[in-house]
Amino acid sequence: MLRSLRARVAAAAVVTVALVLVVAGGLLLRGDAVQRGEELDTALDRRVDALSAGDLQDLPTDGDRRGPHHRFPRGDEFVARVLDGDVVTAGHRDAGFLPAGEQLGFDTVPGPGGPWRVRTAAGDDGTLVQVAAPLSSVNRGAFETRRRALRLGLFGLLLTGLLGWAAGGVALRPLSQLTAAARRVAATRDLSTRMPPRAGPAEVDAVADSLDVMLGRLEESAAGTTTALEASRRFAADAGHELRTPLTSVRANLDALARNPDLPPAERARILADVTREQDRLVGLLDALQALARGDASPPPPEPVDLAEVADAAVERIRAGHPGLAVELAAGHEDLTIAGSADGLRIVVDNLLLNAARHGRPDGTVRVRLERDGADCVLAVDDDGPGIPVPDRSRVLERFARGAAAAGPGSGLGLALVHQQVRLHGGTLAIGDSDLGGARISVRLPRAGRSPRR
Amino acid sequence: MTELPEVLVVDDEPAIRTALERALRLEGFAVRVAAGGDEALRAIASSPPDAVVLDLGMPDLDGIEVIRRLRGRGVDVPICVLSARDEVDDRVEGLQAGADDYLVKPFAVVELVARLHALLRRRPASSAGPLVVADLSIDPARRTVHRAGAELEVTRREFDLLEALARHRGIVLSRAQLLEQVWGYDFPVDGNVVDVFVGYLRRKTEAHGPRLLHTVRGVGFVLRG
Repeated sequence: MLRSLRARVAAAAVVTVALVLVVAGGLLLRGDAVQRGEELDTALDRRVDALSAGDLQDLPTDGDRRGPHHRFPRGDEFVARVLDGDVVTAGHRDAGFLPAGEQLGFDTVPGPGGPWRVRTAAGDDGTLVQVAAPLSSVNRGAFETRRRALRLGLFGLLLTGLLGWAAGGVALRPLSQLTAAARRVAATRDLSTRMPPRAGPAEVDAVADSLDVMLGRLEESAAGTTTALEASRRFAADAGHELRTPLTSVRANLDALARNPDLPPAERARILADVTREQDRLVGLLDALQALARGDASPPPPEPVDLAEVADAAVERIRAGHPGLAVELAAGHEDLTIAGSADGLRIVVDNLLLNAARHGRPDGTVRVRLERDGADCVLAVDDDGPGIPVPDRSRVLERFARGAAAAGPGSGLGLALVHQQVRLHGGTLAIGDSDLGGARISVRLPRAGRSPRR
Repeated sequence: MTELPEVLVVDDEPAIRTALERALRLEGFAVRVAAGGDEALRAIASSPPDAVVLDLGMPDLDGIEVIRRLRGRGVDVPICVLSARDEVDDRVEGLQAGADDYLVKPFAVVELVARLHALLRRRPASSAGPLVVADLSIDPARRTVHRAGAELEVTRREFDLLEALARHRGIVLSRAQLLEQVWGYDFPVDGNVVDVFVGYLRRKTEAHGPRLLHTVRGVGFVLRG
């Protein structure tokens, strides 16, 4: 089997041309043979006519080459005889092999050196005139023609092969350019490489187009992977950073306790309170990290969740944790059930309330409003703190980002968690100003839940 | 009452400031705190402390920049850098900017205290003439280094390390010996800080000629022409 397309093209051309040559050559040679036969017959007719013209007496009897031999040009192997009782033979050889000549017309008979063509005609005076010539001359001519045709054919085939090889190379050059470009991509892993400019046949150009489209897709997907990896690397680094901070103060406080056994009880109590608070912070951080990781994984199937109930429970929890804080809850009486995840929605409300409690004034007011708006439910949480400056508003939704003014506790993950869950529920989050003077964070959640399309 | 050594703790985390302030106070330091880079620069300008414990990652002005500005003004107060990232890059950057040592959070208080004591031990000024190794000339009085006629910019810690190696020209010094002679650590610590500084010195000295500061594997470092 020929593995090279170029060789196949050349071979196909050669085979095709060979077939054409064989068929055409066969037909031509046959036509040639027939024509040569006819020419011989015509020549025999002419000889008969010449003989009939009255030269017959002059014919020598024994192969003598003199006499009217001019009618039988040298080199021509003709014999002639007159059958009239006596047999008169003319020509170059003995005509004994010729048939008796009862039949007029043409006949082919065996003779010296192969078959002979014989013309038997009736003379003017009742005599029969026979003229014969060896068919070998015809055959020799045909053989000569065949040999020439064969030589020409072989030369043609060789030329066809070479031209086919060359043309195949020209036609395949765009393909080998594609191959080189693809190899370059493989070697450099540079997905921004594109195929060479289209110059080849449409089929090759189509391959190049497809390769370019594929490279484009791969490049996009690689870029997406890189971005995701970079994000997760940064997230891991940020998480490590955030975990090291409480661990550092815990360790310093524990060391202080261990190295100073005689501390006054009041100082000991302060240190222990600090350690406990930082430990709580660590746990909170881990909770948030795990919640984020869960949210990053596939969300659970939606179930009907009554947002009013979730908000009620959250308000109760924040009141328990912040006894001095005034938390007002205003929920409409309409149905506030949405399709979503109960855990996810609890994360949303809890973190919004916690965020408001942390950034509002100490023992201030937090206002929670929950209502239907068409196909959506809207939850708004107001605080009376300093608010979030407009330039910071998109940044505070990022993981580990904290408002520049917010130096207090908080992991920097709360609003990121809220935002993640809101997105998972197909909702939107907006940061604005509150009537209370602080920030208003409102969340709009479609009641039907997340649409199937992300 | 003898005067307590004064340490400035710079960190944007209130919990860490509180904990370190308390722990160092109980260890016999007078402690001041600063919540950010700008505040630290102001505090040092108004009254220089004996040593600075400096967090690298701060929102307003990060630790690296604080070190650069201090060193740029010729303030050579010993600085121990605190890094919350277990990545070499920012620690290395801190040392390159002119810090003397680093600790990765979280750390044991005893470790910080030991390093502070070592940093506070003032090295006696040397009065001897220049030390010469091959085409490298180290002048302890002027604290300058020249190689092939060109002056090399070195930080204080780099100079101390180079001087220690030059005084023992041709003799291999172990990491522990260098930590003791250059940093004043007479307790076991991670010796990587020596390797980091050797790296800086090589980069600076080899810009003007072949290697002079050689590693003797499994033993330590030696300066020879």
